[in-house]
Amino acid sequence: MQYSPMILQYFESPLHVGVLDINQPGVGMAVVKSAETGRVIELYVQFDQDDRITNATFKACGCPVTIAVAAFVADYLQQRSRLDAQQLTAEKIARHLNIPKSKYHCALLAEDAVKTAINH
Amino acid sequence: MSKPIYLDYMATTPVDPTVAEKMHFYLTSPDYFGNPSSAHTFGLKARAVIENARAQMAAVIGAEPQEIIWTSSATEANNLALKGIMSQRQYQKRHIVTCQTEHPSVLEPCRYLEKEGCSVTYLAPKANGLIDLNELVAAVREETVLISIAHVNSEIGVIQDIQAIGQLARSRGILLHVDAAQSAGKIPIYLREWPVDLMTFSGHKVYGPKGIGALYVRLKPKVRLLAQMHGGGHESGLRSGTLATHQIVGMGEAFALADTLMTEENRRILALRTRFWHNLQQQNPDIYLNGDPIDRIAGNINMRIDGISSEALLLDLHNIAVSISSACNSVVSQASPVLKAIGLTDAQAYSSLRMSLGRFTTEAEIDETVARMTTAIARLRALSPTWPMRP
Repeated sequence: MQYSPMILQYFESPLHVGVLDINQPGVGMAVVKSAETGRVIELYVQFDQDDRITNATFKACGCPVTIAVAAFVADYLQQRSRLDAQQLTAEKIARHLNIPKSKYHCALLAEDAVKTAINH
Repeated sequence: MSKPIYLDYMATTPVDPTVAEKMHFYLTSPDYFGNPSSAHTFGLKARAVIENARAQMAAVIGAEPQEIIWTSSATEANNLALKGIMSQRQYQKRHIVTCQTEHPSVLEPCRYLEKEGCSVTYLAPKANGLIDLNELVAAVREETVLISIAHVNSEIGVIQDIQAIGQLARSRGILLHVDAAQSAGKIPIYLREWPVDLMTFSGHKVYGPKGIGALYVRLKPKVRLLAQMHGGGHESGLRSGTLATHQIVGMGEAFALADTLMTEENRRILALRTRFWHNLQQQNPDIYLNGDPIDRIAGNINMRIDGISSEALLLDLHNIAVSISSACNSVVSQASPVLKAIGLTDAQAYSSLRMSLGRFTTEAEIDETVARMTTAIARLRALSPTWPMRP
């Protein structure tokens, strides 16, 4: 499979790898998985009192696109408002990373992770 | 970027230089381009070369030359064997026993034959990939006509006990077809002594060219089958189509060469595999072999690497060529049926990959692969929420 330069960038050099302490106030997390395909994304977000995301981290296991979308959303969410985060859809993720149709389900998984984490 | 490393010899092999040279001669010579069916000197010369190649193959597998039918590929040979037997009037709508881990070129003809009214039992192998002979006995019925089992599995490289399966088949008057695409030229085959009725061979898996295969059809006792390619009646009426002299030369030469090199090559490749596996495991915990470790051909390493996706590992390995059989291209699972059949979960199948060593694999390539895999595994495990594995 030929991956886009954006996918390769996030796959090869991901930022914000790790976990946050979910016992801390303002921390939300999501664990979304597709057991049939071995994909798992864990996403952590830290909100401040102004409902702004001061930190977001991820862990991911799966194909290169799975890792890339997780790395991308963790990067995208840095310093974003809750509203901005709510508007991050699979379509936006797929467009930004130039994800092929056959891998669109990875973007859906990432959207799911964002929505779950910010509503935690 | 470093030189590419090829570790996918079970997918295909490069044509051995000796084989390529001989093929080139016959491809370019003004003396051997004739139609081998023609009665003039051009045809007779080409025919003689083909019969020499047929004798070469026969000698390697312990068969008579006239028991070898040339086909375009192992896939065609498998189709000819299965459909050629079961389309005969007395065998229509009867029963076949095969295994869930067979190559698609056996499974798909079986599925086709089911639509034509045959019944098929797809045996599940044991966790090590080998067939349980008791289960085979239990699966065989009054109306069973044919058993089809691969000698060596194309994904996990395990070696089935063809002689025991053959003895069972003989005792019940059932025909045995063996797909030897991954075994011939790598491990000894003695068809004069083995109770096998049909056997499939591939040229490009044993350093011969692509586009040529063969089917062994036993003459004593005579196995009858119906041709699937009709035309000029070539190959005793079993497979019509003008024979490709240079391709057949290539296959004969590849088999003869493989036979000469077999013992030493196996020893060398096994030593490389042992070195690779030992070093990889020493530097990376929780890596497991899929399939039996002993009853396995020398070059195959089908492994599971916990905590990561092999699709991601493949990308990190850049120009190291290995094979994965499970890829996430949709929401629905596409985990390898072979790995699922030996008891792996979907997730474990997605963590697995097949590496296969061969004639031109070097120690330097093995060592570089271990080093690059170790780096990649560490990187991907650091990203992974499923690592370390929780009990």
